[in-house]
Parts: sequence; C-alpha cells; structure tokens
Amino acid sequence: MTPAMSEGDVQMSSLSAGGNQDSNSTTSVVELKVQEGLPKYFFLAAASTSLLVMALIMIFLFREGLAIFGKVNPVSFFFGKAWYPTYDPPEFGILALIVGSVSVTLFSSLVAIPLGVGTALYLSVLAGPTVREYVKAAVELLASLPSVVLGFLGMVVIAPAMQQILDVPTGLNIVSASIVLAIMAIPTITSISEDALYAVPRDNLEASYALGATRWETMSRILVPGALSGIGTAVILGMSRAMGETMVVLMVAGGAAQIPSSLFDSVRPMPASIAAEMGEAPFGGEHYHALFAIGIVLFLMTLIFNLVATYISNRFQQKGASTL
Amino acid sequence: MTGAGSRRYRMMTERVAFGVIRLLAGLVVITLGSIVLFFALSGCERHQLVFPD
Amino acid sequence: MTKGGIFPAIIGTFYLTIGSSLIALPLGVASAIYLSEYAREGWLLRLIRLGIQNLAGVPSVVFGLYGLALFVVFLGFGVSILAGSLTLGFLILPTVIGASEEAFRQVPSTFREASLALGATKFQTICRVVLPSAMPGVLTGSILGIGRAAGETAPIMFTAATFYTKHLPTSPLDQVMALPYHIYVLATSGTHIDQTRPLQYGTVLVLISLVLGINIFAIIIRTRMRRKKTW
Repeated sequence: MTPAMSEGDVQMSSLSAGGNQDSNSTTSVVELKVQEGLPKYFFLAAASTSLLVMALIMIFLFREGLAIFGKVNPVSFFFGKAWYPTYDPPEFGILALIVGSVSVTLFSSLVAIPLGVGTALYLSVLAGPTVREYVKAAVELLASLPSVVLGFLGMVVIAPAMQQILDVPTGLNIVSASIVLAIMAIPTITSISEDALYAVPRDNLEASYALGATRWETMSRILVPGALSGIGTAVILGMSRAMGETMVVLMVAGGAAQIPSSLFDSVRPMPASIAAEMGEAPFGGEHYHALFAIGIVLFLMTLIFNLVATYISNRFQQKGASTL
Repeated sequence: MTGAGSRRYRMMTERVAFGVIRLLAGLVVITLGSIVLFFALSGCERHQLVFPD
Repeated sequence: MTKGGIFPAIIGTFYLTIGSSLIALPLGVASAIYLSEYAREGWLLRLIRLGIQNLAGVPSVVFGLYGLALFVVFLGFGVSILAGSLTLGFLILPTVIGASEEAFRQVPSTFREASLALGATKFQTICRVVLPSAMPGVLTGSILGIGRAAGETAPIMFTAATFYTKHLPTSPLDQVMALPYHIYVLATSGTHIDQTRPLQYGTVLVLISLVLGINIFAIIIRTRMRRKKTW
C-alpha cells in the first residue's frame, strides 16, 4: 500500500465517522460524545507517554548533572584535558572523552557509509525479489545482534588480530572500536536509505531509461540525487547510533582518557566512561554528578543529530513526481 | 545526457560500479554470517574443552 | 569463578524481557492506535511524533542514567527487576509504536467503513475490527523490539543487574543476574579472565541463539503473513 493511499484511508474513515454521528442523533448526543471522546483521550494519553519520558529523562539528567557545575567551573569541565575523577583533589575535564566519542563516531561512519549505502543501492537496484528478501533479513538480524556480543567479538578477535598484524601497542584502539561500531550502524543506514531510494518516483527513472541512459547512469544521476536527503538522514541517524553506543566502546576502545594522537591510540568515549565508573562513583558525590553531566552532553549531542535528521527528512521530502 | 564516451565505455563503467555495489552488499552479509558462525563454532568447541562430560 | 551454570542469568534475562514487554506492548499499541486512528495533522501530532523519534535516538546508557535517577533512587525501587523492566520498556517503546502503527495502517479502510456503516462506534470499530486484524502484525513487529530488550546491557547495568547472586529472584524488587551483563563482567573485570574464556564463549552462544532465534522466528512469520494476506 502506498503512503498516499493510506493517507486517503484516514481521511475517509474520519469522514464516515462524522456521518455516523449525525445519523445517530436520536440517541443521546452526550452519551455518544462520552463514548467517542473518552477512548480518544485515553489513547492520546498513551501516545503522550513518549513525550513524558523524554521530559523525565531531561529533568532527571539535569537535576543530577547540573550539580557538578556548583563545584567545577563549566569551562574547565568542558575544556579540561584531565579526567581523574578518583584523585584527591579530583579533576573533571571531559575534553578527552568528547574527542574520544567524536573520533570513533567519525571513523566508524567512514566505514559504515559505503557499506550501508552500497547495500541499500544493491537492494533497490540490483537484487532480485528472492535475494532481496534474504539480504533484508540478514541486515535486520545484524541490527538485532546484542551490543555486548559485538563488543566481545571486538575484544577476542579484532583487537588481537590488529595487534599482531599491524604491530601496534594495543589492539583496543580507535580503529578496532570503529570497525565494530560500523557493524552496528550499517543496518540503520541501510534500512533508512533503502526507504528513501524506494520513495523516488518510478516515472523519473523510466523517463531516464527512455532517454537511453544505462542503469548506472540512471542510478547515479536520477535515483541517488533524488534520494539524497533520505540518505543524509540515514547517515546522521547511523552516526547518532554510533555515538551513543556503549558496550562496544566500553569493551573495545581501550579506556584511556587521553586526547589521541593517532588512530591506533586508546580512547575513552563518553558512554564508556559513564558505564565503567557509575558502579564505583559514590552516590550523590561529585563524581556521580559529573557522570550525569557527561550524560547531559551525550544526550544533547545525539538529540541534535536526531533533530537535524528529522529536519532534513521533513524539509526535503519528495512529494511526488511533480516537485522535480 | 552528456554522452560521456562510447557505448563500450559506458557499459564498462556500469559493470565496475555494480560490481563494487555487489561487493559492498556481499561484505555486509558475510559479516553477519561469519559472526554467527564464529560464535556458534567457538561456543560449542570451547565449552566442550572444559566440560567434557 | 568457573563453577556453576548460567541458569540464574537466563532466568533474569527472561524476567526482564517479560517485564519490559508488559510495559512496552500495551503502551505502544495504545499510542499506535492514537497515531493511526485518531490523530489529525497538526501541532499536537507533530509534537508527539517528535517525542517518539527522539526517544528512539536516546543512547542506551542515558536510559540507564534515567532509570538510575528516577526508578532506582527517586522512586526507591532499588536495583531491581522492576526498575530494569521499566527502563528497558521505555527503551523499546518507540520500536513497538513504529511496528504497531505500520500494522494498523495496513488494515484496509473498507474494514473500518463497513463497521462504522453498521452503526458501531469508532471505539467498537477499533476494538473489534481494526485491532484483531492488525494483531499479528503488531506482535511480530514488537517481537523485534523485545529481542532488543533481551540483549541490551547498558540500561540494566545500574538498574537491575548484578554479577552474582546465590538466589533466584523471588520478587520484582530483587536484583538479578542477566546474560548480557554476565558476558560483560566475565570478559572485562572477572577475576580470572583467561580461565573463564570458555564460559564467556558459551554464554555468548546462549545469548546469540536466544536473540537471533526470537528475531528469525518473527521474520519468518512476517514473511508468511505477507504472502497469505488476502485483503
């Protein structure tokens, strides 16, 4: 069923609902309003829980996290290079953690974008119907692999292999963490890109073929440009997923809170720091509040990614053949 | 169409490009397959080493 | 630690998965009913959709912090199955909503119109016509979300999981062992990492079989349903 049709469905059913109410005007109108109105507000309340949870997440993150700025100057918190939360006196500078997160996110997207978009192109252009079903199922299963399993894979396979082959001091570094993160980001990128490719009007493709263009020319000049905003959304959401992913960076990134000087250095991305230290941080202490403050930074960064993705997909939505 | 080159050149570009796309998609599927296979094999094998009975 | 089985961890994961579905399924289905049957275009719908989309993008470790601050500390549930299930439930809520909404949208409008034409109210139409027709789709779609709940680690680290307990949980306020957390601890901070390697592989195999099994099951059912669909 096409999106256009389902929109029509909703309109039609609401029209017929209105007609129904009019024809039943012999029974008590109040009664009918209660019968029709109460469920509506019940379902509205349910649908609003997501908003409520978002609000609660923000409230509790800020409630617990902002306390740290009473003791630590925000500038030295965000731009301090030293993260020694358990020293006496402790130092809370999260710049190294931010740089760690950004470096694994960027490098993993370098790996994940070609693979993810390539698979989406394969699915929408090259694959036959049967192969398509199987490849789609494989991508879905890849998405369902638990992150701790992939983290474990990184620890026992990728990191030792890298250490041996490339002769680097530790296999637990930016590159190996990024490879594993890329595996997690690929399904997101593939499925959203594929939807975008599917939404490009068939007319445009057929017009291109009619002009004598080959399949490759049609794909590279009509299909991909037409789906570009959707592919952009996919990439941003994939990066957001990689940035927020915890177990992989906790187990594979090495955990050294330093500003990396090469791709084979260990880093301690923000989620890893939170997950590793929350168990030891004394409840209600400075360290505890600092970890929540890192949570705020992480939350806001992924929120911005998501808002940008939503904006792009709304702003440049293909509204049918006529807009091209 | 700008008509970039001969028909042969155009077909060759297409073959190479589609080959790359197939390769990328293949890599993704192989990644999943090898992860599952690796854990299936190593899980069974390693576990028997410790608990032979 | 090389003795004993992982049965407590399997049980713990089982309870957490069931608990999170008990929260996510009713809420998710009800949200989807609003979105597909009641909502009209406008600022309210846009706001709700924005909330759902962004909830889907919240990192799992942030969910963990939220669960710790709200359920464990503020509401006083402690580190428990209850707190973990609530945290995981809200984590998979967007997945369940998405799957359910798609299932509702695939119910043909003629079904609704026929029911309304017979004089049924909108609520009756939803309960007796739309919901039963969409139920298989809702369930298979939601299973994918539930599989995710079984494999997540970061959200339960501070809210539900413990590395070792002697007892199986007897109440929702007990803390539990859980497969994903067990793998993490064994692999990174156990006392004899090398000696427990085989146990780690074994536990990973159990978790993978569980999660992939759930997902393959859902995918096969979904494919069959799409082929059989007569409307």
